Amino acid sequence: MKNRNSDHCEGGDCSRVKYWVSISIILLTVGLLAAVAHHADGNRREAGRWMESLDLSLPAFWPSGTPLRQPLALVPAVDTRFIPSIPRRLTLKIDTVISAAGHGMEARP
Amino acid sequence: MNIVPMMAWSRRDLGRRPALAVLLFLALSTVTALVAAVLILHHAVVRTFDGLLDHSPAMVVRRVGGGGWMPMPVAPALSAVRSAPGAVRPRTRIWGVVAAGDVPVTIVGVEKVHGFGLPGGIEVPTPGQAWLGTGVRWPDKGQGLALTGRQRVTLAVSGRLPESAAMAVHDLVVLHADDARRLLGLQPGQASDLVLDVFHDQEADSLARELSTAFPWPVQITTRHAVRTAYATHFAARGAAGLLGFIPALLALVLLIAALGVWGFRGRPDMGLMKAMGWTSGDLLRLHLTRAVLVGLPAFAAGLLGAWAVCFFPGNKWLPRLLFDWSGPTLALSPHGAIGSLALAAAVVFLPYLVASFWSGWQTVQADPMELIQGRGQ
Repeated sequence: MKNRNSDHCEGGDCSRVKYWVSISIILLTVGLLAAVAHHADGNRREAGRWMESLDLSLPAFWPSGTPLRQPLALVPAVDTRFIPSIPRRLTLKIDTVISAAGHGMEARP
Repeated sequence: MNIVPMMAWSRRDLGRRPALAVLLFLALSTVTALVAAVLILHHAVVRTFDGLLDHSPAMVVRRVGGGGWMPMPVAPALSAVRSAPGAVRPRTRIWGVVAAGDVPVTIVGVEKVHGFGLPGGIEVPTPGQAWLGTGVRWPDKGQGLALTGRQRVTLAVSGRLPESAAMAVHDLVVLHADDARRLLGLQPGQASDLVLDVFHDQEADSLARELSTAFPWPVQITTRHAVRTAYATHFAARGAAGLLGFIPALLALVLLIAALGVWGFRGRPDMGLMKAMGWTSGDLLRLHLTRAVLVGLPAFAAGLLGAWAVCFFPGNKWLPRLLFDWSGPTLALSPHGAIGSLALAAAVVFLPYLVASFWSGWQTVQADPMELIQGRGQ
């Protein structure tokens, strides 16, 4: 019976070509992923250096002036839910210690 | 039967119905990519956020009054905190949110004292100068940047902060401490708040309680641990909400596989012929599963690779818009530990796919050969 691939390659050449093509694709993919990870690592280190240098409390993932960027600016009495039916537990709530000028303290919430 | 001839049979069988194979491949790879992207994103964002949070101060002390935050006198604050054992490197910050045009930006006041320097050799701004994050709009490039807080201040722009640090400084304006005080309404000798480090994070909670009585005014103390916990909860809620959206997609995938199995196998006379010619039920089931794996594995690999590229390929501008609802910093997410998310995504899609394939194959091999040949198994 005639090999279907006999027009393109003979004997074991074809399987060897397929083998090396597969290996090359895998190596290229791994190399690309490693390069991407290395690039991202550098950016994270740089961002960390700036956070340390400027003593930033949070990264700039959210816009300035929003509750998630500056959560400690929130006044506890102000409800930030945009729909009242959203459970309160789903809003960002950071436990803080509040003191009253040497007269003990209380925890919020 | 040996696996190699079984694979050859399966490959030829798939070649006879390429449209079905392509449809199945596309459906599987798309669903895998969607589920994997959500899982990886959640993991990567949490990990990246946590990693950056490690560089933030361990504790923030803010003076509060009846109306909210109040300016903190620097000298008494530092004196009070130095009396508490365990407080490491207390220092004050001058920062706040002001308007740049109609957009809020965060300003940070710095000055060149005690050898302070900005990373990357960037000059510490002198009065009247400012460095802008890449996300700060600067429309009148010839006329400086106008900021509006308690006063309107126009600053000469020294340049842009590095794009590589955008995750920390995207919409930040770094300016001289005196300019920051003018913008925020602080007097000389006042700061926005006080930060400090601790030797061990475990000490922070007890130190916070001790510090709360050390100041001559009411203060609000927040530890890094509390911030981390609050945001972990927030991210978990977001991630769960994202995953809920894929339950209908997974159901659709199972239905699609089942429909393909019923349509493609139960009514096919050649399966009946093979059974009549002596193929055992086990052989037919193996053939069916081999065919499913031949389509499924490349589809899963393509889906996982696509999800990986979407999450981690540099320069993704749409990610912050999707995640944080603004055109924020280009995210350099951490891929460390994402293998677990990939495995989970593969399991979430691959296991239902295998079960559905097995079920449809089982239905086929249970049928009578004559029914299959006559197409009555449909």
